[in-house]
Amino acid sequence: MTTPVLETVGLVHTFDDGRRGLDHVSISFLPGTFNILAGANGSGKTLFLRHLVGLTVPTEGTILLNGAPANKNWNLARQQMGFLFQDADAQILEATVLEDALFGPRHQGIPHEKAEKIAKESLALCGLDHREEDLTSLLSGGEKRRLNLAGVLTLGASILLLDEPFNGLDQPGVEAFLRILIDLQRQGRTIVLVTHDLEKCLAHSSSLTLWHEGRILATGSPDQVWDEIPRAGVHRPCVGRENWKELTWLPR
Amino acid sequence: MASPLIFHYKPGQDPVRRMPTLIKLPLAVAFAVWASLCPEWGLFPAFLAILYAAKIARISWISFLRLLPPLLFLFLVTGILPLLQAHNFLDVLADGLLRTFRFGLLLAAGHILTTTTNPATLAATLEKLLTWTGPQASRTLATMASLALTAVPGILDRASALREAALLRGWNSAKKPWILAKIWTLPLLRVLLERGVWTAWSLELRGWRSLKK
Repeated sequence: MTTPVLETVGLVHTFDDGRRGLDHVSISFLPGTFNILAGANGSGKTLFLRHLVGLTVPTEGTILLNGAPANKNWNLARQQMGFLFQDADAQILEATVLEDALFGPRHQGIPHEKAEKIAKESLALCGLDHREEDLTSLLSGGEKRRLNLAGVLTLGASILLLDEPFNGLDQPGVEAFLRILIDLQRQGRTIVLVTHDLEKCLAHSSSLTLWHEGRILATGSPDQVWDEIPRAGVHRPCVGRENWKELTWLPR
Repeated sequence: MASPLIFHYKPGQDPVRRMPTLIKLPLAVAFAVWASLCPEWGLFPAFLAILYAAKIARISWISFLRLLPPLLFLFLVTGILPLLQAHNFLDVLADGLLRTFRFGLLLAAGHILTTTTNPATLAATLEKLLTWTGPQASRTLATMASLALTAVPGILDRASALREAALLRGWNSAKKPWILAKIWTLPLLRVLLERGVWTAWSLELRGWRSLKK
């Protein structure tokens, strides 16, 4: 049996006013899988991702990374888990594309030449090698997203946590981003993607987890949880359960 | 989330939120005047008033801790730096503490006001209260207030997100704290300018002509 690369056990988050943001969330992600988390606004998906990388401290529960508690060493855990925020602008830290990609390696103390090589490779992987010298403020929405991804890849992340990465992207933007994600998954990386847009990427998913009010409503393969989708406050695409593998924005 | 928000409107049904803004705003201004100019004994009732208002408005006590960085900075400037040239250390220190405390009360009052009042209502009330200055001046002041009220939370949010993004990409806050100044400066200035431009466009689209009226 394959060991989960990332697992949460009984994760609880209680807000100051007593509301539960996460209510005993136990879930595991297998290596090299493409996992989609879907649910209505405020159902706890983003909060869950923040917990996974230690930006928020749980009231109860444990996060296991490769079987060991992630909170033992958050710096190490964050190198293995790349987190993309909902707002692409909020994750751009430098004025030019190459400088931004260099931020992670530099702060890991990697020598400049090697850091530049890593940064350039990540930019090339994300289709931004021709824009290395450009100002980040001149990038389009889709390019900013890909720059965010390049930034986390420079750290060697094997798990990618993506918070609504398709928001505001046009068809070519979604297509380009999705292609990169699928390539990264093929290379063995684990993808955990939060989205409302099931029609854009469901075909590529290994599992679909539906959230409702801080709890997991259902989890399994898309056809297993198909009937529960509307209960999670998510639009169920207008295709039959048996046709979920057609749900992608990548051209056939 | 990681830490409670400050200067963000949060709806509710407590007495502070239900109080008409036309009363709340002048009360806040009166409080600000009192906290700034009152004799030292007057700071204690002002402090109690803040505690009471925060309690009945159910504002998280932890959120007030986020006001500490500017206060520490102010204390450094008014209480610690002057010590270098001071003869009477205790007086200078006490003076710095007092100034910082007064400023802290103002910040806390601002936090309570903005957390319990819708920014749009606040700007509209400000405009109403300032009609005696003439329509142009009152509208301009209300616009500036509205801009500040919407920009501050946005800037704080972005600052927090940038800090988190840097942490996630290997920045060590203990070893290189000054990196924050570098990564904050341009993006935050950009957010401020963007907010300003969007507000100006929004006003123009709603019929306000800054050059004509």
